[in-house]
Amino acid sequence: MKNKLFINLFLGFTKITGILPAYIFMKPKVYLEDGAKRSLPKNCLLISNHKSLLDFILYLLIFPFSTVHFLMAEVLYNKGKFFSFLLNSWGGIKVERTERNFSFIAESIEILDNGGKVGIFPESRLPINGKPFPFTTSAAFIAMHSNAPIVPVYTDGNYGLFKRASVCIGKPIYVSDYLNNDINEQEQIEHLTSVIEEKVYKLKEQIEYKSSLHPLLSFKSIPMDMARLLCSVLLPILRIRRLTPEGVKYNKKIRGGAIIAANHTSFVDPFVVGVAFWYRRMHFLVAEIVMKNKLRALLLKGIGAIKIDRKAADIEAITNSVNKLKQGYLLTVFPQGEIHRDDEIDSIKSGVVLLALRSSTPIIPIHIMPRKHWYNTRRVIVGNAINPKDFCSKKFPSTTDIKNITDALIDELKRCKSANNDVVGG
Amino acid sequence: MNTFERLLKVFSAVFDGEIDTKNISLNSNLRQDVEINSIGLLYMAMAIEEEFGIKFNNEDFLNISTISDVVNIIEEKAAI
Repeated sequence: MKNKLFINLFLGFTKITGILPAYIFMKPKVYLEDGAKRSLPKNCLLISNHKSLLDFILYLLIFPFSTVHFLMAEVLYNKGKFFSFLLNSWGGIKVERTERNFSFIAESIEILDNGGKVGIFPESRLPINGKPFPFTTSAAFIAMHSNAPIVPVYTDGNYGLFKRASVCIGKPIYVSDYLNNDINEQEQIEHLTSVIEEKVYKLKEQIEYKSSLHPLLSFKSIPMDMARLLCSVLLPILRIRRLTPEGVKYNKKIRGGAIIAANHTSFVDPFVVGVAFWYRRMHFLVAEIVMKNKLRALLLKGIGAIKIDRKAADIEAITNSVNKLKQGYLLTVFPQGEIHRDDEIDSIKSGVVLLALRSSTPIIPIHIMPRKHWYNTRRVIVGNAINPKDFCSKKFPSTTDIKNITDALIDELKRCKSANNDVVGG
Repeated sequence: MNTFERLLKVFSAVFDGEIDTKNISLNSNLRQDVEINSIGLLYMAMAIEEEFGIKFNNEDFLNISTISDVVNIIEEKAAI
């Protein structure tokens, strides 16, 4: 057994002295799969794809408070005594790939059983012409015999001074969830290997998905963010109250892409919605007639308006809106299509349902109370979200499915309206 | 299965028995014979995009009046 204290000290020294240059060179952007944690559990098996020799440095950088013993190939140890000393001092476990020497497996299991962490690149070789090698079975063997959870990690290997690496940490895999007593151990190991490989490469999709979401800071969003800042100030001044249909304060935070479907009784409704949900970046569909004035169109576009031609089949506006929803923005829609001063919600346009189905996002019905005087409190009732997936899971939703969802939306809007009328003391 | 047959399959899935696909021919007019309104046109376009892996733009809709126009646009876009 290697000297634990020495390894920790040496790794600590390496991390302190190397963190800045490593960060400048890699600038890793870390994404977390839903349910994953940023830090490693107490004892675990870190399993990653292998893109470059620098992968090891990357994991030193993104897990600075963990000592991970990485399995390292014999060729690295053969590069000279000093290099071999370095690898040993960083807690490396030597793997003799050409000989049938499996001492590294026993060593890894021992570390895991003593509450340590082991890191493996099961592809065991760097990709050739960008094509990775299939995962070897040793990682699954170690996982099965140690019962330590597996933390899958994916790196895109985009290291360089003017590049930025993306890393995704997956949620832990518990081996016991994948054991099947009907098959022999060899088959189990092969099955577990394919599960791990699939999970690691699935994280690549997570990076693609999460990086497509709108960034926290972006130059393009400045006008929208300024408008939100103004809205946050206006919230108490305009006396807007967010309530549930039961009449209690609406405290839920809406996360991810969602469609806000509101009634439309006045031209100030878009501002009311903007103020009520000021904490989120929001786009809204605006009729072509409002966007005729060029200056107004420029201003509205800046704060997130998407022009839609209500008379024609405006597929570009629909596609644009679907993309915004997929990127995680809110989208405000007035599905009645135009201002209805009598506040009758009998029919709505089903385009809103089309948007929800296409983007797989929920519709949140809200009812804005028309007010008689400017000094009245304006109540906004936020209804239950309507999830189109609950109504239809087919590849092509039929007109019947769309009608069912539209009817559910009308019902929920009406429920919000009657709740708004019933609230006492407004 | 040719483009027209695939298109009819999309129609029967989307319009769920509301439109009898047996009466649809290449010369059928979308608005008059098949009776599709503008929102129906959007449903159809989205399902076609999904099925054929193509993207429509607003100009395409200006040139669509019959089923054969839709077939031509699909084949044109799918070939690129």
